[in-house]
Order: sequence, then structure tokens, then C-alpha cells
Amino acid sequence: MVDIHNYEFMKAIVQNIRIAAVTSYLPKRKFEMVSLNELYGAKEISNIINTTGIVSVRIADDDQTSSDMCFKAAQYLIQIENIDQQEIGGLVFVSQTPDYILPATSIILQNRLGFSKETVCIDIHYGCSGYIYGLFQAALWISSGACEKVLVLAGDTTSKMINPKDKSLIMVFGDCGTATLVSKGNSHIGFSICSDGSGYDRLIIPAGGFRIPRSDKTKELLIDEDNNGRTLEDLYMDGMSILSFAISNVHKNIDSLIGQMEWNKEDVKLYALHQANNFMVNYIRKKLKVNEEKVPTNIKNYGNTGPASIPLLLSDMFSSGKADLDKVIMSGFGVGLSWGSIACSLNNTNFYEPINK
Amino acid sequence: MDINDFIKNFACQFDETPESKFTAQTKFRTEIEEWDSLRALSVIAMVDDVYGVIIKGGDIRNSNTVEDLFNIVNSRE
Repeated sequence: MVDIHNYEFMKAIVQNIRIAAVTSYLPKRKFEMVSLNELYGAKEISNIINTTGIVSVRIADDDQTSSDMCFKAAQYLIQIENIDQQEIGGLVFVSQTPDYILPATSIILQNRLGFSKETVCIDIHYGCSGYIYGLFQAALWISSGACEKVLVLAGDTTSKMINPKDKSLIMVFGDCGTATLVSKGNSHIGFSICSDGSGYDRLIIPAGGFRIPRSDKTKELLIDEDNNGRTLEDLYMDGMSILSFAISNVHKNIDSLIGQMEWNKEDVKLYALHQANNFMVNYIRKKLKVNEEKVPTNIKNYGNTGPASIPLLLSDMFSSGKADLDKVIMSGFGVGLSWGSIACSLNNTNFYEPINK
Repeated sequence: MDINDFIKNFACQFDETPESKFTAQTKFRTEIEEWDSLRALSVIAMVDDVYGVIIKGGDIRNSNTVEDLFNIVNSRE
């Protein structure tokens, strides 16, 4: 049933899939940007807030991992959707903040959630584009007949990868865990995923893997030209390069997927874009040439939550269940560099308000 | 592409620095106090908007003066 064409992009349309339900879990601890006023000056902070649109973010507790947050979102989803745990055949954990170097966190979650030993588990190590990969994996497992229901858990504790002296990042990233149930259904989903590894060092934690093991040198604090401090063990983002990358590629990827689906662009009801920051989302919207109403944002209170941002947006905005979501585009972009979009219907999807909203 | 228009468009990205402070020879990264990574983002967006060219972070880091950046954009337009 899987129909993969290789044109200029990796594209596929997978039949008989339903994105059944979406939940999310926000950590309780709140970090307000104005708390940095004393350190950096109120004017500087307010300039940054005006550009990013991020007023506050949620931060995981010191002992709370991405899998802890995803576990809570999953537990809630299983209970509220009245799912028999034995029906879940696949578990996908999308995160860059796993519990351990090994084993895969998805296996730990299989046991914690009480899923059958016949569950196939996989970790997908992507950030802001990761939700697209998670749904792609789930759809392929269902389409192949390997699974009837797959749980996609996407979340990150990006705050734990950031040096507190790096305001370019602490003012942007927040933590969140999400759960999405994918099952057999009546609709088809289009996928388009792209990669450009030449930009691998534009969004990176250089040290701590096996290329640059941790050492005294990787713990040295380095100050950049914008006065942000970080070590080689902390997250680094070249915001300019990420913006250039995103505004060059994302709208083209979406437009080509809409073409592949043979949709009319005007019929698309919702563009659920990765919530990077207001500046970037608004600029991509301009490149897409679509109205603001079709490109909602909820960046203000949660910031950029990496792989969780799209499911968090959906559960945050659509839990009332009144919107017509017959034709929906989701698009993620970031680390890798990687970018990808999904075309689907969400009319048969149950959204639940984020826990701790 | 006209350099005076480019300078004007470049200057528009700043809230506090008056347009008169910008010339072709202005070393924007060091001489303009208001220059920071946020300004850089709006310059990238402006160049795309007005000239249809997407410049990269490296293009800005490799430009000393407004004219240097103009030359990069001009060569790709």
C-alpha cells in the first residue's frame, strides 16, 4: 500500500491511517523572561521578547526527564481514550534528551506503560522536525500490517542542554512532552522529508558524543560576540543560518507536498508549523502567502518546545473540537539540518487540552 | 541594484540608529551599537523580501561594511 515516488523530494502517501488522539504535558515550573531584566537590562529583554514573541516558557524539574513528561501525556491519553494497553503494537519516542546513552528510552517506556512484550520500540533522535519522522514511522508500521496502533511520544527537556549564560537560547526554548495515537483508519497521509547534513554544525552540541568526548577542555566557558556564554557541552544555535535555511526551504517543501496531494492551496484549513519563534513562523507564513488565521501560534507562553511543538499546538488550540480540520499541513524544521511536512485530515482526531495548561 | 536604496533599506531595520549614520563604508557589525543578532535576522528577511536573495549567516559575518554586503547581494540577484 505504500507508494513512494522519488522526484526532487522524499515523498510518500500512506493509505488507511488515522491520527486518532493528541495529548500533551507541560511541566509546572514557569520561567518568565522579565526575570532577566536585572541581568541584561529591561530594554534589551523587551526587544528580544518583541521579536521572538516568547514571554515565558515551562521548565522541567531537575529530576524530570523527557520520558517522564511523555509518560504522563501517554498515561492520560490511554485513560481518556479508554485504550487497552495490549492493543499498542508500536512505540516511537522522538527526543534528543533520552534517559540514557543506552538503552533506547522507548523500551523503558514500553515497560512503564504496561505494553505487551510484542511491542516494537524505536527512538528517533531528532528535534524540531522530529514529530514528522515519528508520524512517518508510525504510519509505515501500520501500513505494513506490523501494528494496528502506534503511540508516538515526542518531547524534549532542551532547557537542560542550555548554558544559563546563553540568553540567545534560554529566552527561546521550553520543555514539554506529548503523546499521539496513530491507528488504522480511512484517510491517507502525505509525507515529504528532506535532509541537508552540510548544516550539521549550525544547531549542535559539539562535545559529549564519540567524535569529541568530554574533557576539561570541553568544559571551558567561551563567550561569543553577542556576549552569550557556553561550553562545547552545551547547545549551540546559529540563529542566522537557521533562519536562512528555514525561509529557503520550508514553504517549497509544503507547496510541493500540496501539489503531490493534488490539493488546492486555498482548501488547506490549517498550517501547524513548528513553533520556532514568532519572527520565523510569521516569515514562513509570508513565504507561503497564507492568512494569519490559518497559521496559529502559541509560542508566547511555551517557547520552542522542539519535537513537542506541533502536538502541543494542536492540543492547545483545538481541544474544543469545533474547527474543520479536513485538510491540514504540519511542518517541522531544524536540527540536522532536516525538514519535513505532512498533509492529512485531522477531522477524526481527538485533541485534549495540555495537562498543567 | 542601487547602493543608495540598499543603504536605505538596511537602515530601516534599525529602530534607534538614524539613517544618516549609514553609508556604504559603515562597518555595521562594529560601528553601530544597535547591531545584534536580532538586527541580523531582520536584515536577512529584508534582503529576501526586497531583492529575492537569501543570504546566510556566513555572508553577514564575512561582511565588514554595508557595501560588502551589497556586493554579495548584487552578485546573486
